[in-house]
Amino acid sequence: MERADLPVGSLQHLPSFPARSSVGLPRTLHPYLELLAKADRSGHQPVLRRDPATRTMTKLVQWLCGLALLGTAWATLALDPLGLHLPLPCQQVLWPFPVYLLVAFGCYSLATVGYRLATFNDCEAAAKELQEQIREARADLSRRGLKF
Amino acid sequence: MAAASLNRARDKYSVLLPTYNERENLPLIVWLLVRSFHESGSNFEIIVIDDGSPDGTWEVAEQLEKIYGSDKILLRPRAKKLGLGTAYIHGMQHATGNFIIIMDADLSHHPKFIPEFIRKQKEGNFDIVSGTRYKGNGGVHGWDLKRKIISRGANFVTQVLLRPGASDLTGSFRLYRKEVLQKLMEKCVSKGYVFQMEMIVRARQLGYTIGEVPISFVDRVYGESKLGGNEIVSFLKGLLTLFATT
Repeated sequence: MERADLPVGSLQHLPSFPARSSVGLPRTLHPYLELLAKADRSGHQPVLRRDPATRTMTKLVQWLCGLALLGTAWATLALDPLGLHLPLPCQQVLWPFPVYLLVAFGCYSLATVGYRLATFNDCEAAAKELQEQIREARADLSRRGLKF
Repeated sequence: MAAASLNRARDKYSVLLPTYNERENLPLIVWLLVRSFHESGSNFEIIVIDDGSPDGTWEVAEQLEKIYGSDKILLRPRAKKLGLGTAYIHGMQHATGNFIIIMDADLSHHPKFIPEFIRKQKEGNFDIVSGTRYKGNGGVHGWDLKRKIISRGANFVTQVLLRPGASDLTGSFRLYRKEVLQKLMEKCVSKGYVFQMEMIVRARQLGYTIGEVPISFVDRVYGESKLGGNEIVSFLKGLLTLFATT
C-alpha cells in the first residue's frame, strides 16, 4: 500500500497503531487500515470519514473522564487549594477517600462474584436428558441406515 | 392469523455448524436439530462446514445428507482448519435462510432451545437472540469449581469494563438476522472468545437489539479442553483491546 499516493492531508487523523499487534488482531484488518486499503484499491482518494460507531466515546475514554472528574473533585476538597478550611473530621475522611473507594469496590466485586458462583445453576437434569436422547438418536439413526 | 402464518412460512433458519473432528457428535446434533425444527414447524437448513477433519467427519456428513436430503443438510467443507470467523463467512455465503443460528457441534448447546430463540425473536422483533448461561435458569453442567470461578470472574470483569447490556458475552449459541450477522462479520477483527464478545459489543454500537434466552450448557469435553494460562491471557488482552477501541 503506497502511502505516497495518498493526498498529504488525509493521513493527519490516522492514529498510529503498531503494525504488529500482539493482541491477536490480524495486522491487516485493523478498521482504519482496512478503510485505507479499500479506498486505495478502488483508486479513489480515501475519504477518512469516521465510522459512525467510533464517534461515540470508547469505554476507556469514558472511564478516564469519570476518573478525572472524581479526581478533580477530591483534589479540590482534600488538598484545599481554595483555602476553604473544611472542618477537621471532614478532612480526615476525605484524604483516604480514594482508598476507601477501592476497598469498597474490591469488596463489592468479591461479594458479587461469590454470589453469582453460589447461584450458578448446575444442569444435572439437562445432562441426564442429553444422555437419554443420545441413546435414542443412535438407535433411530442406525435404523435409518447410518453406519457409525 | 393468516398473516402471521404467512410470515412464519417465509422465515427460514440456517444453522451453521463448523466442525472439526466431530465424527461422533455430528449425527447426534443433526438428529436433535431436525427433531427440534419439526416440533416447532419452522423451515430450516443445516450447513456443515468441516475443516478437513482427519477422523472421518466428512463420511458421516455425507451419510446424513442421504438420510435427510440435500435440501436440509448442506455440506460445505473446507480444505483445512481455518478458524471460526471464516467458517461463519463461508457458511453464510451458502445460507438461503433469513436467519442464521450459530452453535457448537459438540452437544454442549442443545437444539431444544432453538424454538425458544425463535419465539423470543418474534416476541421482541430482536436482531439478535443470545443464549445465556448466567441468567434465569440458564446454567452449566460438567464444570469444576475452578472453571466456574474463572467463568464468573471473567464475566464480571467484562461487565464492569464494557457494560455490554448482555449477560453472557462469550457464549456462542445465538440467533442472528442474516444481514445483521453479515454486517457484524465485516466489522469484527478478534479471534476466539473475544470474537464472540466483539460481536455483541459492536451490535450494541450499531444499535441492534439483543434478546436473551437462558440455556443449559453441558460440557462433556472439559477434561480434554484447555483453559490454561495462555487462554486467560489472550482473553484479557482481547478484552482490554475492546475496552480501548469500542
